[in-house]
Amino acid sequence: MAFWMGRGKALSFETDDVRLHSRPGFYGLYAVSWIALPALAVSLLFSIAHIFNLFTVPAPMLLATTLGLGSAGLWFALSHINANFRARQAVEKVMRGLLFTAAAISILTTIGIVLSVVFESVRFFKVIPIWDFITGTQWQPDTAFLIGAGRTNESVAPPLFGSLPIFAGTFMITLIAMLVAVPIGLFAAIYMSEYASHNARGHLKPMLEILAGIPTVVYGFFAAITISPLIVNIAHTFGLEADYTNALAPGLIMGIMIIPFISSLSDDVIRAVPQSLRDGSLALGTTKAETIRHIVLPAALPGIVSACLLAISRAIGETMIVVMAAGLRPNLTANPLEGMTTVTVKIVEALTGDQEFDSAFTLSAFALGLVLLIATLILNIISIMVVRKFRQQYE
Amino acid sequence: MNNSTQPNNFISDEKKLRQKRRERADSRFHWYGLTALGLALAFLVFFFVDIIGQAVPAFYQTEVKVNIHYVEAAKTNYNKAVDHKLRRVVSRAWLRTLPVYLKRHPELIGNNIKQWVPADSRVDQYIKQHNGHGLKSKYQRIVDAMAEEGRIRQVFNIRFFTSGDSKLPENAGIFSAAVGSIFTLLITMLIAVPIGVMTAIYLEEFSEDNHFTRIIEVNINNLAAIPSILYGLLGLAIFINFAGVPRSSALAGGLTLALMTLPIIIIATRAALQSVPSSIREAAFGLGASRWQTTWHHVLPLAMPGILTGSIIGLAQAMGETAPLLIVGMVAYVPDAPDNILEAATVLPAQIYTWAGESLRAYEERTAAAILVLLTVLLSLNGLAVYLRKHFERRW
Amino acid sequence: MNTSKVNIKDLKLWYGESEALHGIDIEFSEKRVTALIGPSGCGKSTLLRCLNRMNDRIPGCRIEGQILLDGDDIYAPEVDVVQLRTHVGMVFQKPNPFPKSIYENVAYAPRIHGLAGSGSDMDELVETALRRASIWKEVKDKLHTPGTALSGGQQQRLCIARTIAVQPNVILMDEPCSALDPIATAKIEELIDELKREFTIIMVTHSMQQAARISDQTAFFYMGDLIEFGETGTIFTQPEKQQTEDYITGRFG
Repeated sequence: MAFWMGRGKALSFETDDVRLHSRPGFYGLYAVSWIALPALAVSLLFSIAHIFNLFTVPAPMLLATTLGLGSAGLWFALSHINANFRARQAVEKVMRGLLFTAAAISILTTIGIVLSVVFESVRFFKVIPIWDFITGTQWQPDTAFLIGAGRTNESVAPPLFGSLPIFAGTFMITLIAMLVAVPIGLFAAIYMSEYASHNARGHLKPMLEILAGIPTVVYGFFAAITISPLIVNIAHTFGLEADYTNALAPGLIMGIMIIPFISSLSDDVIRAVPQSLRDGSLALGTTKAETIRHIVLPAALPGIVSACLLAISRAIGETMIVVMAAGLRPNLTANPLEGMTTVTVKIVEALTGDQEFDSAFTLSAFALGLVLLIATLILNIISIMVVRKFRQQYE
Repeated sequence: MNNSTQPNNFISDEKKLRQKRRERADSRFHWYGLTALGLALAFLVFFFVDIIGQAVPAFYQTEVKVNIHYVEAAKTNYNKAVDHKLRRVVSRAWLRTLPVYLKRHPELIGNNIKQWVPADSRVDQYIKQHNGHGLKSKYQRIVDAMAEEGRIRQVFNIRFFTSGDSKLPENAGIFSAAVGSIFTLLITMLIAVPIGVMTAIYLEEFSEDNHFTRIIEVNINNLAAIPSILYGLLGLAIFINFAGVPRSSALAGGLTLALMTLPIIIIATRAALQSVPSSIREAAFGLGASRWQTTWHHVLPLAMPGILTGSIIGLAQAMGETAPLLIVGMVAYVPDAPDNILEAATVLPAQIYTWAGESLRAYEERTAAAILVLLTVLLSLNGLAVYLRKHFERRW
Repeated sequence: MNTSKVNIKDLKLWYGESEALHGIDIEFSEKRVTALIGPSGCGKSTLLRCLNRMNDRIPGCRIEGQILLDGDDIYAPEVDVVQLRTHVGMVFQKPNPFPKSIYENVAYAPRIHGLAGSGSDMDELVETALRRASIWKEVKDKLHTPGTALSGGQQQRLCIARTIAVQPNVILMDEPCSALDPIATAKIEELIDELKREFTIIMVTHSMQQAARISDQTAFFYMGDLIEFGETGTIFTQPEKQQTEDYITGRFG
């Protein structure tokens, strides 16, 4: 409505000898933004006030204020409009501002994640010394709620938050996953980029990428119901004991899940190696395999390394597969047939069910989250830097 | 022809051995690649065969033909409606509906009708010959006898699609989870798509290459790599504890997933905008169009298929996500579909997670069936994205 | 009379459906430089790449006819392409040193072919190859720096050194100077003059002056046909065909 009013007013100025500065539509948009922006700003302000429990405005009053501001804005906008008014510039400015606000939300998200994790972690480290958390080998948080409830630790065994066995479990499962994913992913990438025809590659790549599109909860079910019993049976025929929550099953399945991360990225970087290098090597009478091993792969190495780093960060942050198929018991062992637990499992365990935000047990989830955040950020930044180097080399 | 110093076919004798070895290494390398691909694809086939094999029985429900006594006493105690020895054979979920049914149809009282009714889940599992069906041997004999009399049949399990979660497996379905998924995804879409597209437009078309822009770029790359569970921590700390959004609600889940999907949509949209050649922009600027006019009239329409594809892929990913939703409490037991976005809700992947943790054997096939439904939806979404990309792809 | 090294008989080549070479008959003489000239798309590069079967890598490319190297058909089914290429080396239009050290660039192929052990044998082989490519003086103090850090002309001579380290009989050059400046070009031309004492050189060139300067024989191609082939002096002074005359005098295309 405001759009047509603004446009109409502007059009009324247009005569045979006076030309509008901007297209009539812009005057309409200008009027609209003068209605919508103040109204939106006020609603936002009130809802923020509501969240912080400063004061709550009754709904009718809110509506009235919004409408009032809106019409004031409209009146202001209409009074502005005349033939010389530069509506286009004004509207462009508003649009630009809106887009900028949207872009800022991504920054806010990061800040939100960092703040939410750091704040609660700080509370956690006030109770549990950070050194004990990093180097302790015992994770026995069961008695933490008693301290939270006000009991001092005379009669109660102190809760232990040594995260080493948890990191060890994460490391073990990630290692198994990478042992599966790197060879398969890399060789699949080599085959797709160097051997397969263009057509075959067009079919193979999406098929592999289905693996990355399967929800992790599905993988978790598959690992727990199908793979774990399989591993227990196989281990049994070799005379080995395996837990149903062994680290091998989630590791294997996670490895399969991240194959496409490695294969797709590696395929891209291998194909980015200039054809002239392959020609140069083949013209010297080397075989295809020798060319790939000695010339193509070394040239693509930075990209492949960065793909692997991304895959690692994906593996350590993976949650559902380990929640469903790995154990709950922190276990410092090198035997992948035993049950082990991971950082993400412990976060889920601490935050599902009833939560007491005073309990160190609940807060430990945020401390573990902080470690996870730092680890993935470091891996990601390294991989971005490596890829940038690679690009500079060939562009 | 003159005197050739080379033996035939350019192979000198002393090199033959070495060459053989190199040839073998060459074909071995080829085979490594083929094997790797074969392994990955074999897993894919094994996976789908296994899941489908487990899921198919869930689409069938066993029914038994029994005498139902429509007596006055059944209004208060529904167990009175069937013979004592059949009480464990007939579905309790069905029996529980009897009192209400009788009150609505009083004319039935006093009748004794032989009719097909749903069987108990243990009977169902026993008929399907699943290990761990949990049916006592006493009832096994009864059921065997009934089977011989032809009083047992299997029908399509419509309940799986029309009812919500239940503690009785024969009555458990995906309806409430599906509604929850739709609510959650709608919120995700309404927030993530506009903000994501606007951010991408700002970065590609409006921003100067300054410090702030570069920070946003690095930041978006980082956000895309952050594990999804950390978004759950964010949702819990900011949306639920700080802003007071109800726990377990579709709103909390949708907001959390929206933040998670944002970087995917931004990256896809930027790629789509980048693929529009700058000659188009220059042409529009050359005609005196403003930045906004150029973007709105020329660049966006051309980038639309790419934006659409990216958004679909991002939403498909959000639809399959579970971990952050666990943290914001969307794994609650929700038997009835939510009416609005503030009520406790659950989503399909969370339903799968809950059922996977149930001990009754009958839930296992239902989990697989829910997985099959979820995978079908996700693969169709991705297929749609691929189709759109192929169909609208433009070569510049 | 010069002995024939490479003999091409009625060679036809297709890229998919389109025929790029329509039956070429030509003989290249041993230890001489033959220049292939002609306008873009005339098939001269295609012909060159047939000689060490680099065209095998292009999908949809097939040939008919025979190419004989020392009397043996290089397209015979039992021929090993890899071995063939150790006899017929190739230098490309754009210098393409491997992203390795200068030393490794040269040592790479001899090591794979087992031409020298890794110790002083290999050092000697590398030095010889670099000397014969007349780049030794410029790089002898920085053998272990990346080959990609050299200038364009140096890179191209490094690629030549890399090629002759395998000890081929024939060297194919695909416009080896088109990416280089005049001074670097002059150096490469000098080098080619040196190399023809030992190698049969077949080069494609865009520059007729270059063909006239350094080649012994010249072949003129047009639209996938060999129009004229003869001693360079004759071709550039008294061509037999009107088309050749038009092309070398610039009245063409």
